[in-house]
Amino acid sequence: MVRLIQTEFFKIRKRRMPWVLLGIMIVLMALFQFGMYGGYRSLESISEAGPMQAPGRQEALTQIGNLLSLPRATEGIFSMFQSAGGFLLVILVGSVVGAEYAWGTVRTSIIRGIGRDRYLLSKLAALLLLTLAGLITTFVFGFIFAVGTTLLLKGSIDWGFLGGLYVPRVLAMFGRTWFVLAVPVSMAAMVAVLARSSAVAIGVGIAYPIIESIVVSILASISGWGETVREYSIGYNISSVMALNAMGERYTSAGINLGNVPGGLVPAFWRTASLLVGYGLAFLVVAFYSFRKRDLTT
Amino acid sequence: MDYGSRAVLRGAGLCKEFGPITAVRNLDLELYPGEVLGFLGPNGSGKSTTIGLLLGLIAPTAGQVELFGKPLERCGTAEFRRVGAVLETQPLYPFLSGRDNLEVQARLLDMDSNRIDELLALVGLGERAHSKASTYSQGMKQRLSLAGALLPDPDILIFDEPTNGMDPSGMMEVRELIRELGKQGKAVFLSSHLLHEVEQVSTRVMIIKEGEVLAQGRVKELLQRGNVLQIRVAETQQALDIIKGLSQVQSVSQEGDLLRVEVPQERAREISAALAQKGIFPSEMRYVESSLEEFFQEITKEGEERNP
Repeated sequence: MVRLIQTEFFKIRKRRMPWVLLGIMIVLMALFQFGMYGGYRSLESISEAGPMQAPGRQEALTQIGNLLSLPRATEGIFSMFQSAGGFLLVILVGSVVGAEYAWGTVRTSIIRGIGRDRYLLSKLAALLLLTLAGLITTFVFGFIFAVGTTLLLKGSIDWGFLGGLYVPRVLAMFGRTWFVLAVPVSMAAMVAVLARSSAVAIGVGIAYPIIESIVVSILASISGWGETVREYSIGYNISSVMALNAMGERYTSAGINLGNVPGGLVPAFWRTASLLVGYGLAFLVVAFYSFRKRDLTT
Repeated sequence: MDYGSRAVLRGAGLCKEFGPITAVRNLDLELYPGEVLGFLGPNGSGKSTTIGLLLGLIAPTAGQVELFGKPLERCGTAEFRRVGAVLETQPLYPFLSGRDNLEVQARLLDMDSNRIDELLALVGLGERAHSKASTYSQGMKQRLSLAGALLPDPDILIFDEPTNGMDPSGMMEVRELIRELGKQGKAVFLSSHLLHEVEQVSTRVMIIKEGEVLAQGRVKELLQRGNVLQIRVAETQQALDIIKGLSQVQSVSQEGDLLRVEVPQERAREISAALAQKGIFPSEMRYVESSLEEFFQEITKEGEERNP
């Protein structure tokens, strides 16, 4: 199995696409952080230029300033990777799984007797490891950019935050972000296997979260059961888990109140995690069953 | 060829239905070490589906495939690494070089990559080994697929149109290679629409149409069935009656003053004598040997008449 995963890495690293996607992610991270810094300076200059003081302006400036400075800037790095990186990952997964059908190489792998389950499992394992590698790389760049924005804002950095709970919290953020990304990864893999196409997998993987958020928002606004539907949606539960990345959260048995998740109250981690595990497993079961049963005619 | 030995690949009662279409119907097949089995059939006759069934890519609706005496579904890497296949569609990673494509195959087979360079040289790709497969011509892709099939030094080789896209010299090289592989004791399954190719390299042929086997046997034996004695005579009806009464005459047909007699070559003298005895002297009498192409045309036409 290790050799199969290594073979997947061998193929993936020789492709241009993963490197381009990683480059895009890093550029997006830079744009996000320095763009927000630009916004902060614009907001600041508006008030300096005129006598008018917009209500809540100072509060907004403080909040943005905090999010741009270490240690709180760390939250934004993971949030950005989950949102923008999620779309890029769907493109990678769809391509890695689906393109093998277009090239016909799925057949040459299967006739080597490695077994269909092992073939698909090695692909998924390689993609999940690659997700983690992408997350780590993006974090490193994001952290460097955050050092830049912190220095631009405050002129110096108090590295004292690195002690205490920062490292364990960052590790937990890695875990949560990786965990929630496994859901779109397994969904894209499932669609690629069902449709035997990278284009369909990428299309569905990108469109799904957008369509889901629109549909559940409409349903939630028109009826009570719509709210329940939303609570069971993938996007809501991913947001709920990611909300736990907010620094300074307080855990309670009922959940945590952060105010930045639809509905305000974030459900307890284990409930959202169980739902996401359920979705991920369901996608994988469909993918493996389909891959095992269907003829490989192309 | 060693028919006394055990078949290394066997398909028994193979059927495959795709919805209402029956692609393969009750097909029995055995492949022995040292033989080159030519697998012929018109387009859409079920050749590629049969190959898919033999390689475990397609699940049969009925029947079973055995690889080295073991049911295919129970075979793993140990059995499959003794099988090499060139598939018609030339499955390759376009972004990898020729060498890296073989490297992937070697990794899947859990074997060292020390044979790669030797094989690339064998198929004439040594100089282009580091070029991306996407830059290869059709013939070069086919050569690379061939190298991939030979990588594990397999006992069974399955070729689906192996000379597709190749230039004439490349085709000759591949035919020579296939013949050589058979001589080395490997079991070769050759599916091709190039009848002369199959005729040149196969020791046995199997002809299918609409998923059904129409004929099979050693090439020489099958061709003998199509060999005819052509006799041109003025007294056609009289000659026809005489010939029909002779032993070992399988069939006689008439086209104008030409009689076509399906009979073993050694009986020609007897026919000549029988006609002379009745005062009939043919203006032309010659034995025409059938080619596989003619035999194929004939047999597939028969199949059409049977299943219109």
